[in-house]
Amino acid sequence: MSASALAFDKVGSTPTENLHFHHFDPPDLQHNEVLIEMIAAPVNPQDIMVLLGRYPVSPSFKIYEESIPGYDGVARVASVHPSVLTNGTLKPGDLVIPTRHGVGTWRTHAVLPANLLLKISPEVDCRIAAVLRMGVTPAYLLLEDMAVLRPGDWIIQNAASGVIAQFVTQFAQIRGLHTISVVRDREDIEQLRAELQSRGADIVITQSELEAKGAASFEKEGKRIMLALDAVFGHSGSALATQLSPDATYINYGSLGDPQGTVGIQITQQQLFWKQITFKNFRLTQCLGMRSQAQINDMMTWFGELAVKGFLQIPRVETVQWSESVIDLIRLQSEDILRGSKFTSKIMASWDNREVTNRHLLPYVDAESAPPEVAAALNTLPFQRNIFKLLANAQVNFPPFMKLLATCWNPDLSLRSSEYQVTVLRTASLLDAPYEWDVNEPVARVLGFDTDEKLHLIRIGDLSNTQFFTPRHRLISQMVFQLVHDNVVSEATMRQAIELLGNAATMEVMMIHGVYSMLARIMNSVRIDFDPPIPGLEDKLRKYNAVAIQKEKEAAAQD
Amino acid sequence: MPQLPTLRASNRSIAALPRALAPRHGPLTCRRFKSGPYGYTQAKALVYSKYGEPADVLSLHTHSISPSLPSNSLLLRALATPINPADINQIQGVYPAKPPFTSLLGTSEPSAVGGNEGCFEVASVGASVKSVSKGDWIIMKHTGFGTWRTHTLAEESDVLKVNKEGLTPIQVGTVSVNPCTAYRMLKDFEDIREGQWFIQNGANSGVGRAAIQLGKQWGLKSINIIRDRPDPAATEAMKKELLELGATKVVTESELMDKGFADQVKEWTNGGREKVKIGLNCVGGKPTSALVKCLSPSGHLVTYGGMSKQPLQLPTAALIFKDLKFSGFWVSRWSDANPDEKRRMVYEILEMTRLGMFKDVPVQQLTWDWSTEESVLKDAVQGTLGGFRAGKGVFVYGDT
Repeated sequence: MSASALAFDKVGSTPTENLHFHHFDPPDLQHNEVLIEMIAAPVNPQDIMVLLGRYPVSPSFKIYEESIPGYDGVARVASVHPSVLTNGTLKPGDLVIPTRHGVGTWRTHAVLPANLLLKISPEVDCRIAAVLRMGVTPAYLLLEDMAVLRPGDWIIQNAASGVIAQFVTQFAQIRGLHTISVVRDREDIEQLRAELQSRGADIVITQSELEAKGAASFEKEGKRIMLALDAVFGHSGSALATQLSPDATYINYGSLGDPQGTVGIQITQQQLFWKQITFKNFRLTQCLGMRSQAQINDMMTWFGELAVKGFLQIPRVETVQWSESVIDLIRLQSEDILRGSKFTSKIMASWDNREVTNRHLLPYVDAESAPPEVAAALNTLPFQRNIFKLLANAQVNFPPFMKLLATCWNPDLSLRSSEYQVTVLRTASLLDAPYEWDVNEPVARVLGFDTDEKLHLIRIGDLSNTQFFTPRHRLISQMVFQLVHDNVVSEATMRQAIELLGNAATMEVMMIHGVYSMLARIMNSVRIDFDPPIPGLEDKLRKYNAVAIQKEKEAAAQD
Repeated sequence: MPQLPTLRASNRSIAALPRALAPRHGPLTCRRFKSGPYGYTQAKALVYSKYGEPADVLSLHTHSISPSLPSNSLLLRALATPINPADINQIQGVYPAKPPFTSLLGTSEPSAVGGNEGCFEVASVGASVKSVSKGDWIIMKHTGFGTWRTHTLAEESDVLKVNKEGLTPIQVGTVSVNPCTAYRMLKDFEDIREGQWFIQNGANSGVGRAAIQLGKQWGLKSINIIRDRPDPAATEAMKKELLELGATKVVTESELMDKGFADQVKEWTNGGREKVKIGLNCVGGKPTSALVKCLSPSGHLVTYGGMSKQPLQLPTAALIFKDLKFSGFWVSRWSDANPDEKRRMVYEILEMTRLGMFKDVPVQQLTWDWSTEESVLKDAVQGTLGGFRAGKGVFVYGDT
């Protein structure tokens, strides 16, 4: 068994400087112990604080004398010691989450005492399960423990694209509360606004829009702003406080925007004395400490039920595959977090599990036994892919579809190859199709998106970096978002597209999106299995796409 | 020149009139104003019709009160009513509680009467009044009544009867704002126990002195911050006075701002083992930030005023790593929401006063007689604002 883990030997001045990737063999099971395989583990801002030695709880587990970070995640039970079976708590196949802080989830396998694991419903989506402890729980407790809130009250929160804030919005809805979500200024604000509103935010406003509105502006509109949730501190936190109504509560639960504590937040006499606003801090460990382990477990179980019933939506997260290179991604992520410039993304240690499985619901059609036309279509590409084998079940549609598909990468398109890739990868991301992403990521790499950072940004939909992405890329990304989110591209965006891309490319974006969204829906529905690695894939792709690569290079040189 | 004698005669009669009337009508004129014809009570009140500096906006208004009282009403005569800083802020329009301007007193513009607490004597009662009778002392249940007045009508439900046995009007008249504020702030925000500490600025204020004494009764230790006096001897005298009152430690603002002060606090608190759980703040700005640094983890800063009007800058460390809490308190709001607890608390503090466990706050008495001029009263109010004063201003009513 090849197990691996991230671990750090000492607290660093940057989160990743002492973080190492280790291979190890899980120890044999002792009395009451369980072997788990991690499915997904998030990189939370709290984890970054642990690496910097600024979180109150230290990791409890070590490997090669180094501490294993990661306090949240979801795993499947692989095997259990016979003693565990007799007391009936856990059995192989159960979906589990940690019951304590400090369990150390940034690893593929762990041997843990059974009481550190809580079984949750197997129906809970892994992306919610992975953040139950550090994302969902704080969101719930912020509304439950910190202030008395009544239906119709309003909450104002910053870092609103962060995972905790996303769940705050959802719990607020359950409790009849309204939310004002403050996000930092950004280019793709309309896209984010639409997305957060679709997840239940009543008002989405940027930092500068908020500041322009002036103090107590929402209160003047008759809203009772009874709770401010500040994850940023500094100016952003102070701006939230100015909007609070009398008797409201300001809660800080993070200082991402002011990690050195240099700015602080400003409290006026008016806020403290006239309005009697209370200012205090939220500590997850403290709130959990007021509950028994049984109460905590019941709470988590209930969150799982809410997720299964659809009351909690899958958070807006970005997922990456577990490998040695996640250290670089964690570094990028933590830089964003520490700069206070991004709270949106979380890296999961896997986009579900990339393990090659055998759980497809329709047969894979084999070229050798298929009718000649189907067999020819299956050989369109110089390598085998499970997706084509599935599509081939529709014998009549499949051959002409493959021809249509091949037009998507035809070098004669108006759309440039990199633009075609943005269309495909954004479609895969928004429709949650890791398989589609995996198939196309190598293509994107040979077509110019050649670093993890660029791909990371495409994955999370942040194309604001002008060195990596063109205005056309950004516009295409917006079109895809609107198509997935609203089923229609807005008229304004369409007019912009016709202007910037031209008639042909505008239509090409929508057709390619149509083709790849169909593929994404098919592969997810049929429960496609990941392809085994294809030897020499990159060379094959370079050869196959030689013309496109050349054209893209020329076009890039002209930019 | 036939007119001349007439003129002279007229002159003579005018000059003669005051002399002729003086012995009989002089005092009579006053008496008539005070009790009025047909038993009307003549009352005076310091009123304001718009917000501003007290010297600019206050005026002395005279009105009369009918002898036929509504059945549930009382006629009250003021005995002692203090001038609190919050009263001034209220007149300036910079205090959260704003009394309504009304035309009830017959002022040309709708107006409010200044002052928020005081001790009154019941002069007469309406037919259905049961709980108080003539000669009783009362205080107002709620702030915002307007107490800088010689006489007033009040409803039975507005007043709280006080057992005057062993008490002075000033003791009774100053109980509901400052001591009650100190009491609530020490009781309601944190579970502070015997042997634990609180720290406060404005320690020489009415609230500060009350907190020192209540703290002493309850076994709490206190760090008390006073402003540096220009004369070091005066500073020392002030320290001595507060220590005698029950303060554990008294330091000046400049000592507080000194770099080594945190270590000093650590030494006093047995290496930090005795918690400094509550900070009482009426200042704001940098000195308050310095005070915040002395609070133990999970401590609570309670703000009840802000003389310096400076905002408070909260460092990340204070909120996040020390888990401090910050709240505001104004007693009038609390009193309105908790009438029963307020009554119980007032009686408790007055009982402590009777037993000599709660010393009088130093006062500057201002006698308010019928003949006291408007300017004298206004100066008294305005004077409350500036510099170092020997004591709280209190109107003590004489011959009204």
